[in-house]
Amino acid sequence: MCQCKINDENFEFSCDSTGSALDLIREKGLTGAKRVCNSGVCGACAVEMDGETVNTCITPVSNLKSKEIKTIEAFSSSDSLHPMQKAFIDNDALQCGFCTPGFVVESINFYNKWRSEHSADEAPNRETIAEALSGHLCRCGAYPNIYTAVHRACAGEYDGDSSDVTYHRYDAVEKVTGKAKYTYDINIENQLIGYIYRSPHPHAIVKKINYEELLSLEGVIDLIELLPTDRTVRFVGKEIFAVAVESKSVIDKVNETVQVDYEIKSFVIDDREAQESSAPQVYGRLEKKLAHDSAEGFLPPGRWIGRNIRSCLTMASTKAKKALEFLSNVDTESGDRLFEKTFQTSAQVHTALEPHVCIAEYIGNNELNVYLSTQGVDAMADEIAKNLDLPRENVKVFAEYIGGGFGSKLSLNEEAIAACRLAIRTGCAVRVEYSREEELAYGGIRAGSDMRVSLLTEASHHLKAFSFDTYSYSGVGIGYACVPYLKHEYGNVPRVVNEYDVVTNKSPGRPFRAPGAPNVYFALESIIDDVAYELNEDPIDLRLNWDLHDNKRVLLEIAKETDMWKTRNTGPKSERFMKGVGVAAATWPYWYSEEVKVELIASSYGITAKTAIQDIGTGSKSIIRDTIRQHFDIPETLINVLVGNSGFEKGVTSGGSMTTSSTYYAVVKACRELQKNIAEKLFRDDVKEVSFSGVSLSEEFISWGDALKLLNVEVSVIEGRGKDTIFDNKVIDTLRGKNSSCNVVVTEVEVDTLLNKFKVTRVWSGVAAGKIVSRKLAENQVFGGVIQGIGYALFEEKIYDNRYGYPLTTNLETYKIPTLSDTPEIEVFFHEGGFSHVKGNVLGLAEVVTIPIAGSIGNAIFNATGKRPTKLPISFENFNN
Amino acid sequence: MRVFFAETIEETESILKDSNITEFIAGGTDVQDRVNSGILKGNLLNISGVDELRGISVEDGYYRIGALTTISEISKNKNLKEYEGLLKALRIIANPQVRNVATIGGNILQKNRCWYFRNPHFKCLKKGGDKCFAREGDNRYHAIFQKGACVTVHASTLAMILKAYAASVELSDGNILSIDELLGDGSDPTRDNKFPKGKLLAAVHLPKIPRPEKSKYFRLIKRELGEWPTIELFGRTIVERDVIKEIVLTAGAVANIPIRLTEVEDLLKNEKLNKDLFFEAVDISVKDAQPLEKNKYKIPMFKNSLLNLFTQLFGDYS
Repeated sequence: MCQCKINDENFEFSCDSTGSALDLIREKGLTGAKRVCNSGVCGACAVEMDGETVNTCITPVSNLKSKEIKTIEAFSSSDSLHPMQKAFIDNDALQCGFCTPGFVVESINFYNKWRSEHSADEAPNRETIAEALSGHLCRCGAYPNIYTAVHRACAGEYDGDSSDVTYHRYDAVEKVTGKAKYTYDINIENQLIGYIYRSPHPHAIVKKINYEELLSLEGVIDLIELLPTDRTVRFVGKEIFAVAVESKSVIDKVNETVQVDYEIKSFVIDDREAQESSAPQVYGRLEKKLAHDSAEGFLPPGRWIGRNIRSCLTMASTKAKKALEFLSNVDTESGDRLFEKTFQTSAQVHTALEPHVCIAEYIGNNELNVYLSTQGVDAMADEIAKNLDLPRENVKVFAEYIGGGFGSKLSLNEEAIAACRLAIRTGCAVRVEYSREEELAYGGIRAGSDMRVSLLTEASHHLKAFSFDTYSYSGVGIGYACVPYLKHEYGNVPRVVNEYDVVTNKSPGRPFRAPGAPNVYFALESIIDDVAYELNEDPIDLRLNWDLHDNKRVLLEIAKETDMWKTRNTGPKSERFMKGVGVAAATWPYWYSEEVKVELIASSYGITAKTAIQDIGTGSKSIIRDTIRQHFDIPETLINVLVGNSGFEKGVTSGGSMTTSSTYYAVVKACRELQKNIAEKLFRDDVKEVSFSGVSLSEEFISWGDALKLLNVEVSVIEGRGKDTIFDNKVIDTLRGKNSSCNVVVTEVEVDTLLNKFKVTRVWSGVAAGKIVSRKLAENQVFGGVIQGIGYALFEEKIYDNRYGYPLTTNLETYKIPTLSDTPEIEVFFHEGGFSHVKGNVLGLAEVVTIPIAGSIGNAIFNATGKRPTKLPISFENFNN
Repeated sequence: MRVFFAETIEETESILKDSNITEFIAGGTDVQDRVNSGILKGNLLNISGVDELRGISVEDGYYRIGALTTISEISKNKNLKEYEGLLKALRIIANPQVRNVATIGGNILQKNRCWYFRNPHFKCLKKGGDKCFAREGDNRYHAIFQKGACVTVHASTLAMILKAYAASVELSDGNILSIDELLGDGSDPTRDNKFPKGKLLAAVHLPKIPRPEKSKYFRLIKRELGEWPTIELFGRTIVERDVIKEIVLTAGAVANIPIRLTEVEDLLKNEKLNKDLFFEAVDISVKDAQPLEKNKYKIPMFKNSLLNLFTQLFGDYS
């Protein structure tokens, strides 16, 4: 046995094990250190070892011998936080929080060194902070606030007890101290491990599997098959069966013992090859109805027009015949000009830092408690009940903290199906988690695409007509709708919009933060930039000339006045390092669920809110708390927000940017009702008026704080959001953008023309998404959208081996997401008007803020180099200057 | 699969003799990564507690850097200030948490990062298989100078730099190997180096710099930090009155071993700094390159990276 000290406590461990230090630490119940990349890249598992930070996932447990370990749990106590933790809270330097413990440990270590070497008020610059934290990744993109937090803490702003801290985020304390328990951190005593066995072949029919032999292995408790009805696997990694085993070591035995007879079929991996008439067929003629649905919401109808090509009904065309007529007979004599270009985008992987994970606990009577990392507790309870043929009330889904989703956790996936079915069958708790490899290989993608755009302009430089053809590459999936968003751009200009699904033997796409919109707007905004250049127009003026959306026009006018835009260089370029500035705009449809209900309970302890939504890091809990605070002048410590429980009042899935738009007004209504009800309960007829500050009685005024103390029973209300008022003129209002949020970004990129390196240096993001409820968090969301957009534009690409069908980018070394040092300075502007018909005037913004980023980067690169990027990611591999 | 422990060189040697040891654990960052992914099986010998392998001493003509000295310890050593390019590299390699534990010995002897080698689903030449999957597969990050059947690139930045210093390594039995003997010629596809099996690397001998020189390190990556190089270069030079008196150039991430750009050196040596000469130099630098199907872009990028290194070494002449 070896010894080590963890958080001042002595531990003995067996030192001949080949496990990692992280295994040991987490087994001790210290779950602040997270397993994310499992290969030393992301820093989520960082702890201090003898005073220096290390990544415990790649530290052999044997290296802990005689070492002193300090984990995130040791940097705070119940009544005090480290100054760096205060700085993270006060500057909202986090979102989902899964990477946060690692960042905090590293930042504290850096703070200690910095403070010992520098005078009290000296603060590190961005470059120094970026270097110190270069071993940490945050997928939400809280980087700008991390810079600020570390900078301010190192300047001593949070030293001492007196420092002022604003708790912008409801659950920030739990997240910066490592106390937040994510689904991944939950273990139930005597739980079984569910292991999913996946196909090693990209296309095969599964004939026979030696299930009996597997079931006879010691430690194998049960097994379920996960094959589709035609018993065909169509991509490497397709789930074949799941076993429930007693411990991880049994998994090796399963892998050694399993024998599957396959009838191997020909396959195709390359998206373009799949379109050839001789390509192997992914779905045979009679199997097409089995095609995987990759759509968010509903699957657009379509018909198969080639072996692997399906034409979708998009309804995004307007006066299609006229558009075709204009485009095929360009009237050059009257000054019409035609612009055509093709664009290509790559598959982007969500890379939520918390993997897909589910612990299904059988609690008797055919009832399940399901702990699931999901973006929709309410919907998942429905889906699981349906899938298992159980009454809805038998299934409860919990997700108190979720380590990012970005769309990959919207639907019911195999980890939950396997865990739940095995739990019901075995009568035990069953845990299924994705490894990082599974997450990056099979956890979903934003479909890549090829797009062909033609724009026709008139002599007046107005848009006369356009066509937009998209080929979407969602692996075995179909319906990765990219183009519907084009319906409401540019008024009634004639357009013909086509979308084709191309299927290949790759794992399917899943919804992903504005699913296909970043693809479409990269192409659209790039070609508009081309048009502006060719017509010698200012790109913003040209957009103002074309765009009918009221809010977008406001933002474009403001964008025009930004310093970046006014000082951009439009002359000839000859230096090696060139700065370019680009603009791009985007629209995202406004959705809400009218069914959302919120329960508010007032008691002498304060006010508790309950609803079956969830907080995936966007800050839904904080929005509810802040809304309550807008109606009750009480300290935030008296407000308790409970979400992530399907047993609460009807919620909404965190998708489509509709959590805030659906929840906010329900909370407002509930608050107003609660104000009245509390007052009436306490003071009956004596109530003259209720307000934000309290209750006015005929003789005196009672603050809410005092009023709550007087309650000796609970007062509760349940209110629903309800429907919006109908527009006066639906068509015109839609064309004017009343039904969409929008975003205009101005981006500066520095290009090293020798090395084809691109660094985004500054971004101005103007957002019109109605009223902003929690400003700091909304701003943080915008940061995240910008940073994910940078990754999409410059670094991220899921790569396959085309001969074997295996994905190759299955770790965070080869799948490259943005780092702290890739973060530009980002300025956010909110235009809050324009949605008076929306209840509460609040829209969501998470999706719209990432859509135009790639286009603006491409346009900035064009401005810098005179070369138009047409392929994402833009990198030295494909951009030849 | 189990872990053995040694606290002294003597113990290490005796365990090596008696037990079937597959690899050493020093900092463990590469070893544990491969244990995690399942591609490393077998008994491991943990030598991280062998304190006599730690530390830097000044010897006659060289610095002796104990094999277990960590990257961050070396980067903080006051004696090594003249090694400007080396120090720069030491601050870029991997990330701070890895540098805190990763050792110089481990860095030199680490395994390559080829995504077929690292992927448990591919049994390549380095894992007892009979083919190199990258040669016909996706080889965008692979070798453009072909040295053998395996087309991975060598992973060690420090090996590339030590090659530029004609450094050597010391085994625990007292034998000395030149860095070139240690690295081999890349022709053996089953190994990343020629380090003798069953031996223990004790120290690296870094020759002292005879007279003041300039040295620069360059790493081509897509992002700003925290990424394995697509191309890396190291150069040492002495320029007197605009004449290049001494020059040594090595390159990494372009072949399955670090390479030295001898012909480029020959062209530049004793020549006056001049732009045209640099362009000629980068042209001949890729004369022997044989890119694979997906890494042709590395040829112009290699030339431009070299031009960039010239700018770092010589100022704006290029």
